[in-house]
Amino acid sequence: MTDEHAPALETPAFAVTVSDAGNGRALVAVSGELDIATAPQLLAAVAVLAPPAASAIAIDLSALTFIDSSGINALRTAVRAAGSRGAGAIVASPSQRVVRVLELVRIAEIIPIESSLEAAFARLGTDRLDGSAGG
Amino acid sequence: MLHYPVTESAFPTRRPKAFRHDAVFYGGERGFLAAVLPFVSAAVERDEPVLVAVLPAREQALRNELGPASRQVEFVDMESAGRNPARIIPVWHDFVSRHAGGGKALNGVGEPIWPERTAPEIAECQRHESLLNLAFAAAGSFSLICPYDEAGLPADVLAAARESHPHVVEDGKRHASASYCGVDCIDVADRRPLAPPHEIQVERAFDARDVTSVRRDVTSWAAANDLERARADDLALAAHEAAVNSIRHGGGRGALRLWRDDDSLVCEVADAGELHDPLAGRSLPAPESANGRGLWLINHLCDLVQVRQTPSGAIVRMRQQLHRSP
Repeated sequence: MTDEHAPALETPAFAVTVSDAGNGRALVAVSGELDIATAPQLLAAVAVLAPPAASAIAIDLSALTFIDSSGINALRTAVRAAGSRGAGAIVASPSQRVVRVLELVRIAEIIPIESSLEAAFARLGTDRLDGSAGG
Repeated sequence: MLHYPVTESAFPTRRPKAFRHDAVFYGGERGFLAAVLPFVSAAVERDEPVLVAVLPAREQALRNELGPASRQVEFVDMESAGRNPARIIPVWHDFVSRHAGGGKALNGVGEPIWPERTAPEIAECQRHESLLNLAFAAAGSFSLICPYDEAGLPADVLAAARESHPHVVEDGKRHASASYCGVDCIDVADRRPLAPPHEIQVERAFDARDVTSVRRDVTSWAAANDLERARADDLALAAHEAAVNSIRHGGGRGALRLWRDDDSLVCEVADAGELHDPLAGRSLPAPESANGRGLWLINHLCDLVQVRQTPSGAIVRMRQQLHRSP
């Protein structure tokens, strides 16, 4: 809800946390609202991930409550940039609300996506994901 | 006259290697079958792909007549797929690309306008009909017939069909439409003013600093007007996408207006931008493209979207019907 006393400058609630999942796997947990204002934070967080510490990157969307076309483009850019550094990246476990938006733009034609983290890391372990469209 | 016996000679068996877009005039359900059944049956006999996008009752009537042959026909529920007429061209795009490379002529029946359509819906259906000529100009061998019910539609709607279709079929005969205005009428339609708003409930300006609060204003206003949560979320995202377009392409700022119109909530974003591609938002960009998904999303999130060019800029007007089953 808009606070009538809030200043005009508005930043949506957003957080991105990177953790080491072992064996060259990195988990990027994104929460809150991924939009035109917060997309640069996701790009910055993923930009520093590269092999050998991060050969397989799963971007966990389970705590994401909102995504817009800028956020979708940030996911696309992040996955492709990871691929160009030799890492595989995949988007995983979006919530129902976010899935609706991702499906409308036919996300599986743009970036690899899985409904769970387990499936995402399994696919990263078996596929050669290079940032091109998967699925 | 309620019923035209359309003979198969209206639809020649030799397919031209071009997009054909015919308005077919008929009266009532019997007239519909007489006008459409020969076209569909002939396509089935030639073993060509055929997609029929009509109201469910019309689909049932066709299925009854076609019998087992209806298994060779693809059906799309126009009431749901075409609720927002801007979503119909994507249906035909998918049909054409699904059968691309099959080497066969393609056939379609699309009935976007029925008597219960509202005035703004009909305006967008007419824009859609004109845009088809542009969207599929290079589609090769694709014959699309658009049935118009003379028994149920007003005279101005029937006259507009003659302007948006290069050919018409009436009294069983196909001929060039004397009043066809080609792609020229797209630009004219895009500049036709929209009906003025009813009592405006919320009005505000936005720029790059506060664009993300636009969607919050839409969400709270929609909730106060009893729009279901999921459909309010859809409208809020659509408004946000339109506002972001204003930031990126519309001079960096815009104005939001919200009001209630009969049984719909209406949300309008206006800016100083200029529209360049009349087909924007009716196809998805290539997977590697960074842009072009905003208007596509808007079209798929709302019941009706009207995009217009005015002397002062561009307008995106989005509607969500209240108390509608999802």
